[in-house]
Amino acid sequence: MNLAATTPILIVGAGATISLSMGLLPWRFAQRHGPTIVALVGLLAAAVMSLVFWGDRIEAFDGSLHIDRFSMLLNLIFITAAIAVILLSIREPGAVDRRGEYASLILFSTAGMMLVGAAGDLIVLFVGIELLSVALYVLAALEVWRERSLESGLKYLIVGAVGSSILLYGFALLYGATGTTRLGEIAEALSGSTLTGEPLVFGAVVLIVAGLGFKASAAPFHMWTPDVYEGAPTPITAFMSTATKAAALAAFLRVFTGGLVEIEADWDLIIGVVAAAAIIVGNIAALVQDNMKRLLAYSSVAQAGYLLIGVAAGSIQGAEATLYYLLAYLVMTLAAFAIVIIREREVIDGDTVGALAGYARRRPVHGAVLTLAMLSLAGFPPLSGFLGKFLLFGSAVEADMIWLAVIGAIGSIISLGYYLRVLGVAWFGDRPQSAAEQGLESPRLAGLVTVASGLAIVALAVAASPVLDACRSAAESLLGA
Amino acid sequence: MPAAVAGVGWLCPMELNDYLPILVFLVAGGVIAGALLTLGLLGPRRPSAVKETPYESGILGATPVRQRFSIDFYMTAMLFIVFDIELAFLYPIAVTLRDDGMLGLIVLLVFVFTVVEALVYVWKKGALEWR
Repeated sequence: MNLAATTPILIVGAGATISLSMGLLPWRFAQRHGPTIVALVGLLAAAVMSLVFWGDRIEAFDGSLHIDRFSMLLNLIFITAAIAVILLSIREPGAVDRRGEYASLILFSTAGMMLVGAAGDLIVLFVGIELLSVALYVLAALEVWRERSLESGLKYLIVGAVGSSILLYGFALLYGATGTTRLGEIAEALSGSTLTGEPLVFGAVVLIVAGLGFKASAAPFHMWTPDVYEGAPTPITAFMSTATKAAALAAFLRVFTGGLVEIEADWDLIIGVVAAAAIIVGNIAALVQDNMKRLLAYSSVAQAGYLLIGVAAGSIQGAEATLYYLLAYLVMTLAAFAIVIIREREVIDGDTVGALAGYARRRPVHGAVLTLAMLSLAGFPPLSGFLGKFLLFGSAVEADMIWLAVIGAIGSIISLGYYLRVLGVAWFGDRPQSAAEQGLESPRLAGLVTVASGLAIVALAVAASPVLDACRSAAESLLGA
Repeated sequence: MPAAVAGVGWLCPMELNDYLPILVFLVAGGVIAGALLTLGLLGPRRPSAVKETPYESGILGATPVRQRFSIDFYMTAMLFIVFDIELAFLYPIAVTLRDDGMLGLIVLLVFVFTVVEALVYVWKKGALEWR
C-alpha cells in the first residue's frame, strides 16, 4: 500500500535514471531521441497514475507522505510543466550534447516537486525541496560556454543554499516547539495549546516564511530572480517560473494552511505583508524592463505575491483560490515563454521586448495566444487570470484583510503598464529589416505548446466550474477532509 | 525544576531550560577566548624583520604556495566520497535485512542498481580516466 501510493513519484524517478542511461547507449537514435521519449512516457504514466489515485486518501509511511487530492492536483501541474518544457527544449543548444542528463535532471526535479506536494513531514518536504533545487542549479548553468548561464547557476546555488538553511532552521525551531516533524502531529500539538505567540513558534514561522519565500521568489527575497531567470536557458526559466513556483506554494499550503492552521494569528499578517511587498515590488520593477525574460521574472515575483494572498487568508477558500490561480498561471506563463523561445531561435537578441516587434502580425495565431496570455496575466475579465485574482482577493476580504485585496487590485492596474506594452510592440511595432536573423531552427513542437497553452487559458475560463470543484476538493483534502 | 534554573525563566522560554548548560559552556569558552585576545592586545609588541618572516616548522617556505592541480584529483576525490557514502548505507540495511525478508532484499537491490548505474554513467563519461 505504501509503495503503491508513491508510484507517481517512483515512475518519474525511474524515468530519470533510465533517460540518463539512454544517453549512454551506442545507437545514434537512442542517444538522440531516447531520453526525450523515455521522459515523456514516464511523465505521462505518472500523470495517469495521479488521475487513478484521484479521490483516494492514503497516508503512506506513517503519515510522512500524504497521497490525497491536493498532491495529485499538484502532480498534474508539475507534470504538465515538465512535459511542456521537454517539448520546448528540443534542439536547445545547452542540451544538444547531453540530452540524457538534461531530461533526467528535469525529471529528478519534477520528482522532488511531487515529493513536496505530497509531504506530510517536514523532513520529506525538505528533501523534496533540495531534490528539485539541486537539479535546477545544474540546469541553470547548463550552457557552460555562456558567462550569463554560469552566473545564473552560481547565483541560484548560493541564494538557494541560504534559503534552504533558513528554512531548515525554521523547521528545527518548529520541531523544538512541538516535538515532532509530522505535519499532522504538529497540528495536534498546536491545537488548544498555549504556544500561540510563543517566541519559539513565532521565530519558526518567520524563518519558514523567509526560507520558502526564497524558493517562491516573493519580495523581499526575490533579488536573485531576474538575474537567474535571464541567464538560465529559456526552457529552464519557464520550468523555474512555473513548476518551482507551484512547488514552493505547495510547501506554503502544506505547512501553513495544513500544519500550522491552529496558530493562524501568528502568521497570516507576516505572509500578507510578504505578499503585498511582492506585488508592489514585482509590478513596479517590471515596468522598466526591456528584456522579456527579466520582465517575466519580475512579473513572476508579482504573481507569487498574488498566489500568497490565498495562503495568507489561511482558509480552504484561500487554498482553493491559490490552486486555481496556480493552474491559470502555469498555462499563461508557458504560453509567454514558448513565444520567447521561438523568437530566441530566430534572432540573436530574441529575448528582448523589441524582438517581438510585428511578430503578432506575421503569425496571428501566436499573436492571439500572446494576447490571451498577457491579458490573462494582467487579470482581464473574463479570462482565467481574472477569475483567479477575483477568488484570491475574495478570500482576503473574507479573512478580514481588505488592505491586501486593495494592494492586489492596485498592483494589477500597474501591471497593465508592462503587459500591454508587450502587446503593443508585438502587434503594432516595426522592426528594421537589417536586424540580425539567427536562423536557428525553432523547436519543432514549440508551436504546439503555444497553441495548447492558449487553448488551456480559454478552457480554464470556460470550464471554470469543474476545475474549481477539483481545486476545492483538493483544498479540503489539505485539512484532512 | 531546580530553583536555580527558575531564576532565569524570564531569559528563555521554559522548554529551553535544558539548554542552560550549553549557555554556560558558551560563556566559559567566550571568557577563555576573550582572555587570549586581550592578552595579545595588552602585551608588549616589538616586531622585527626576522619575526615577521613567514615560516613553516622552523624553516623558510621554499616554493610558492598556490599550485595548480589537475582537475582529475578533484574528480576522483569527489566520486570516491559519493560512492563511499552511498555504500556506507548498506551497513544499516545489512543489519535488518534478515527481518525485512524479500521486500528488504528487493529494496536493497534497487538501491544497489542505482549506485551501479551511476558508476556505469561515470565510467562511460570518462570521469575515471586519468588524463
